[in-house]
Amino acid sequence: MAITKEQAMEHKDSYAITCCRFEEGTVIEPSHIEDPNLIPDLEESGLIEIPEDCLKIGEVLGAILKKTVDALTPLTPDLVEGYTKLEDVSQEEIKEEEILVDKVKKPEKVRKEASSIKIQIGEGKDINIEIPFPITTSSADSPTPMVEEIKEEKDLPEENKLKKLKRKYFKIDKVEFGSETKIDGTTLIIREDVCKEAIGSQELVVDMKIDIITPDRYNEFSNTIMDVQPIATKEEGELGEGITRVLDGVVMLVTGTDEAGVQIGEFGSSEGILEENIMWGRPGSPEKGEILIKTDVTIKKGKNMERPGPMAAHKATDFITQEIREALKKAEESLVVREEEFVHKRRPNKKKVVIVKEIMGQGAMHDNYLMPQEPVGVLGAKANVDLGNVPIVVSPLHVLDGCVHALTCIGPASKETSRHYFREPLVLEAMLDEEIDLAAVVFVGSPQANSEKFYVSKLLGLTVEAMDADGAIVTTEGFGNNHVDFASHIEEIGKRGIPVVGMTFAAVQGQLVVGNKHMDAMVELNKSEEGIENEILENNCLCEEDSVRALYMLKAKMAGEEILSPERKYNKDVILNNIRLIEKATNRQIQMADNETSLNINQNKE
Amino acid sequence: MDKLKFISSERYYEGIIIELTDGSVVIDLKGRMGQLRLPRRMLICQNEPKEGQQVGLLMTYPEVIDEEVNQKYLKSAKDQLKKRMNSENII
Repeated sequence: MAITKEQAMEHKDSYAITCCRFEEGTVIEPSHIEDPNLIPDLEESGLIEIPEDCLKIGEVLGAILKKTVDALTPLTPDLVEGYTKLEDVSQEEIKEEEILVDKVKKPEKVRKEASSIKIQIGEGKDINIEIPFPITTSSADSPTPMVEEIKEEKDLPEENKLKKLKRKYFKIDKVEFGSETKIDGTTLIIREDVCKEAIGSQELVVDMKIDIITPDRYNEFSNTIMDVQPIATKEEGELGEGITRVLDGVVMLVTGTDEAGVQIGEFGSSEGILEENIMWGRPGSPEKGEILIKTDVTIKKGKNMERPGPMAAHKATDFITQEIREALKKAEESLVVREEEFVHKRRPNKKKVVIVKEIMGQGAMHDNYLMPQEPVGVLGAKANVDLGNVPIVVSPLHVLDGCVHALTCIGPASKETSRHYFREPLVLEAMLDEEIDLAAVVFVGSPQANSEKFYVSKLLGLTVEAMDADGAIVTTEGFGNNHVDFASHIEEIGKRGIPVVGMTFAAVQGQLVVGNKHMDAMVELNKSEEGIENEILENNCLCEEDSVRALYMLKAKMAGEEILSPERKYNKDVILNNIRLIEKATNRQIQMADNETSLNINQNKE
Repeated sequence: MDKLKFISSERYYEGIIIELTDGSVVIDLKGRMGQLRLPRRMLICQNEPKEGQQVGLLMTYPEVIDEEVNQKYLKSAKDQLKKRMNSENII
């Protein structure tokens, strides 16, 4: 495949390989050269072998072929007449690395300005998996942003406190059934006949059971987990501000099947022994030791793949949660065991950053209820599919106050549950980061058809542009056609000159299907050993370690640092290396998340 | 992936969408080569997909990568298949 003049200039340092057969005496033009993006594939498949003295594209253009050559011939000095030798690029690279190492040795200098990682990438369109490879820290040497900041500091306040959100936790160590739903000390009592009413509230729900799973019952079977939800209610103010009461030590678990026993949930379902199917302690999963209030909803036969089916299962569960919320509102203030406060501060003289979270919106359980009245509730909320999947702007506190009730039943390992948003690590990390100004979180749905994907993507680009953002992080959950709009979101933001970092599960199974030149800073979310969707709840979801990598990568990109090109295949060491570099530069210990190898899985046990 | 002996042997297949639900798509492979039942998010389409539309894909042959039998998975998948056949869903 020949290349254009522009591509030739872009890839002047890439190896020159002929794309077709050319006769002796041909003056070499870009149209004679094979696309450099394909070279690694050709090399890997053994079709070509690049000799050490292979010339670069920039060297051979305008030169004359001395001999007739076949397609896919690496051009070497003995085949070409009149080439111009370019400076040896590899030497420059080595030099740069030396300087970088030197910088790492001086952490005090790094702290002076936004500590960041130096990353380089050779621009490329052959993006399969893109993994960050930061080399160093410090953007302190860049004089321009420093001057700007000093100037601005005179006029702008250091920090503006926008809103506060307080969580009051009520400890629960026992859940039992009784005549009335109430909180009695540290015991949660659930009304015995609440189930009957919950079933009656939904036409499609034919049966429902509540099961109280205490830690000693973690080894029991469960139907596929459709969601993990915190139990929380507003004490004061609207969602996203004021005071929220939260039950500590207990979560809701939505599970279910249709009448025929078919799991509700997409395909990779996580039915099985609870302790083997949950990656405990992830932001979106239960903590070991917590009591799980598990609803097992049965919906009408054949409705598990139609949109109203999963919705009914969620609504029926929320009927019970709502009753617990009402009881929590009435609980004695003296029962509060701890409080947590989140403050959304704006930092006007820091770089303005926007977090974009792509959520599923293809239909059925690929949907989310947004902005309910109660944290992670259903009442008052609208499904993003019904809203046309268009970008919705909320504050970080809305996210932490449960503005998303997730229905997404994509592969269990990479779906973000409702609890994930309630404890969203990227939002938490970005909010506390004093080097950036986190402006907002934008939710954008992922529709089914490409025409709609590009429609919402365009709107997202306009939204982020209107915010005057200096940088953006785009995250997505799962893999599949959502990667089409994920790439498009990054392009729409990137082409407006806004540095952007992408976060997704890709690894082996979820490799990106499309790429563009703005996707040069990508954070891999995979944690599984094999790099696959392994059906273990929340295993490959966004964790604290990923948030840190994404933020430092964005800071590096905003500071104008180059980014190293990704390796050709998923390599866990790249992630570990980046974490180590960040730890070294910031003196911070970053906790790496466990993966499925920490679970005791017996595949032959029935 | 390193477990595969016949890697990158994918070839072109065509099929017809024979069922669409809000969450899934069933594709019948031309040449009586079987059927694929996939989540909707695995289907790339320019406009809303319709039953009867043709799809194309590259696919390779599945290889047995482990001689060991995964009893638990087997039982659960078989049960689900039986239940699905018993429900109103195709396959």
